[in-house]
Amino acid sequence: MPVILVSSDNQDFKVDKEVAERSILIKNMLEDVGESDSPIPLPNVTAAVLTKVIEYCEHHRNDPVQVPEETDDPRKRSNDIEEWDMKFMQVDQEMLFEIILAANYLDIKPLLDVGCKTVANIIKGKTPEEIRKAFNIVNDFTPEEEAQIKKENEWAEDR
Amino acid sequence: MSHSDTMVTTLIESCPHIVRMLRFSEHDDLTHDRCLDILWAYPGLVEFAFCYSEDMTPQIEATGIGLQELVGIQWASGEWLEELQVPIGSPEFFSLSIDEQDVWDRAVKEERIKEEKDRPEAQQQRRIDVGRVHVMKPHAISIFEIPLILSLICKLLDPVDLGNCRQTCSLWEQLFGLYVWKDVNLCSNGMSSVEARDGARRNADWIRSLEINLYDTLFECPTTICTQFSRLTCATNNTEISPSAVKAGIPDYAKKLIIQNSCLQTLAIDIIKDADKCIRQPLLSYLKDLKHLKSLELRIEGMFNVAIVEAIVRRCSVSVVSFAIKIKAFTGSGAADAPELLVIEHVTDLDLPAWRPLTNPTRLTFAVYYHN
Repeated sequence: MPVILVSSDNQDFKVDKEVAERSILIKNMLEDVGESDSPIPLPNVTAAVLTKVIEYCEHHRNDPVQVPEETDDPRKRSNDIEEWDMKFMQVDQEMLFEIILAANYLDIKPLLDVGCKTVANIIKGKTPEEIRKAFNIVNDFTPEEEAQIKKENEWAEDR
Repeated sequence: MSHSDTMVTTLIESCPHIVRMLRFSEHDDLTHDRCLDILWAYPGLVEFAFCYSEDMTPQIEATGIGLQELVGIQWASGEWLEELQVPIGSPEFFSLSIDEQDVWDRAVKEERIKEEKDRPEAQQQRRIDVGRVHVMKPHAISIFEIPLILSLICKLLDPVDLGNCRQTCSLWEQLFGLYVWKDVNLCSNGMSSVEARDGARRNADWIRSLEINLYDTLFECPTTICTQFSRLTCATNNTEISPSAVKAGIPDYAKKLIIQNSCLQTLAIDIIKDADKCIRQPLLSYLKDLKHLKSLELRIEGMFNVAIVEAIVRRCSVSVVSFAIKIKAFTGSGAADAPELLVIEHVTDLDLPAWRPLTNPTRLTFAVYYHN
């Protein structure tokens, strides 16, 4: 049975129920409402972002429910992104952030994880200046403050 | 103390790890000061809701707004508003902020607000004027300012990357501070410099797990800092302990860290030498007062008096005690002088072979149960 999702800019998206239910938010909504043809408004997601989210959910419609691997060191897991997901995440930074926000809002954990891994990979191995460039951050430290924080952080390298 | 004082104090002491959501009923009578207490205790709180009507319909729900913004709005209003309405579900909802002009405007119009407050119609609907709140555009939302997303990203980064992020700007210094300073080992090489230790003091609010060398004179911790960590590991790390230090027992600063920290849940003590003399008396005297402690781990080399082990188990109110001690026998199985102790599980006679401390120690865990 199809479900109609309505983006914040009032665009309708007709998707299969099992695809829509990759979102826990929508799944819970559908369970609460029961059998209904009413469209589901998603006021925090634009049509452009919703298109991408639906594309992801379509591709992963048959994936098993994700079980957290608590024993794994999470720091080793940012590289284990599937090839399709990696290509899917090759978007401009604004869209990447919008997808992460949408995944958070719609409660799609696997998509949120992939988005966070992508952001972590952008940060990894970069100097503070390179991180500023990557995320368009303005350095508002005084030279003294910056030197102090740099000195404080040195201990982390020897942990 | 008022009802809200008691409630918030109990909450913070008993649940130091809330990071997701807090909800209060209107009957909780939450004051401005108590909200600030919560803000300090739970800096990473994502969702905060309060003031529900009798039929449990949320009149006010600040889900996602972040406690800091909520308190900011209340602060800017110049008084603690009993009712606050924000556009729930709209994209702007996530990015409310207050600028100084709002604060100033509120102060100037304080008298008028007071007068309005007394009028019946104002009492019926007293709401903050959302138009006065500076609303950032949705695209200005940073994923890094949403604690859940930030924590997911930080879990994927190593300490050096986290440190580099913290060096980028003042906002990121705050955002990544918790993740850089969450686990601090003052025994590590990196912590040997004065600057690093100054950093630990300056960022003490972020520390949740602290490892100290009991007899390290470099770290004299003022009592006003380091009061929010939940795990403290005290080690001696092969330090030569002078006879006077042995006599003095646990140093004053460590004593303060243990006693004055109401968030402390796990106390781990690794003692290599002179364990008996160093920790017996102070430990026994502290344990009876550490009501908030949930777990006690003792890793001690050398023979340990059975009577002391029994005394520790009987005196403390923790739910889990772990020992890694060379010990000949243990006879305790509940006792008349420990009425709260129902049973001690998995107690066997021990005669551990030569045990290397800090490297895969053999551990015996006692599960201690209580009468309800």
